[in-house]
Amino acid sequence: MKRLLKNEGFTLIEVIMSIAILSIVSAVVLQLFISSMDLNNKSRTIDVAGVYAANAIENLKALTSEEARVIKQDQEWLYDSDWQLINDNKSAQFKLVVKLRENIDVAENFYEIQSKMIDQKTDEVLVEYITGHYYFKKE
Amino acid sequence: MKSRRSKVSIESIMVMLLMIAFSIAVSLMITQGSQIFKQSIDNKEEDENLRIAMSYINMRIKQNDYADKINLESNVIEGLSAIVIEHIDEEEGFRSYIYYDDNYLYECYTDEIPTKEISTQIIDSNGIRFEERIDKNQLVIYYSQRRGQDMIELEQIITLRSN
Repeated sequence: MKRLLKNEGFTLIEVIMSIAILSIVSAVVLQLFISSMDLNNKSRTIDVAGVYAANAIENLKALTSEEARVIKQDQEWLYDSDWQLINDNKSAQFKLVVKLRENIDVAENFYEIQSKMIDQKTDEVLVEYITGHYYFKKE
Repeated sequence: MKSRRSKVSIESIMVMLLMIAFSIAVSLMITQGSQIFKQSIDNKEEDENLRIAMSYINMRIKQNDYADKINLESNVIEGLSAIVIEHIDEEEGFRSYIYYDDNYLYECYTDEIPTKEISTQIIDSNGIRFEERIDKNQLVIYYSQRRGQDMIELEQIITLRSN
């Protein structure tokens, strides 16, 4: 009150300094929000990649032992950034690689299935599943 | 009155303008920040719910995957389709009905006629529908997921071991 009566206020330097400090703090807080959004997007991408990789394994499990025996080469699927299946390798962002190998050391008709989703832009493996499956011979 | 007016300098006006500009910027930043924060939390919650729903259905099916014990039946509970799991051994006679209604995934575990009243809410979801691929012995579950302004369907395939 005394200060007001004396007609004293903040100097321009004080005002500018406080504005600068508040601006820096706000920028840091906003940056945190943006990082959180990025993390959410990344986590969603990994979730979807996991579902596609798991689906590929489930589809291989649906084969008969004769059908599985025919598959010798690795299978690849390409997806764009919206997870649409495409054929063009250059514009593909994600690549799903599925390997099916018979492991007769365990048992006849026992296969190891490996499914891996790769982000082609960063060369990062988003998810990788390895499982074993026994194909019953159908009568 | 004259002497008061003369005291208002250019410097003071500039400081006032600076303060106004700053307060506008701060209020914009707070509004935008709160919107981003809310959206971020909503997305996170939606993704978590989707993950829970997917792993719940997957787990229930894999745990009870015996020959001819899992089927997709239509018009089971008040006209709704449901994954029906018949239990064995000590739970013989009991059935689990997994279905989606009114933004929720439900499960009804009973040995009587299933109803919504005796069902348990599992998790809320944007939308779930089921499909059976009999030729491949697969159950396909479609989950609605928000991507930006659009809703897309995420497909989860489960091959039944009991083929």
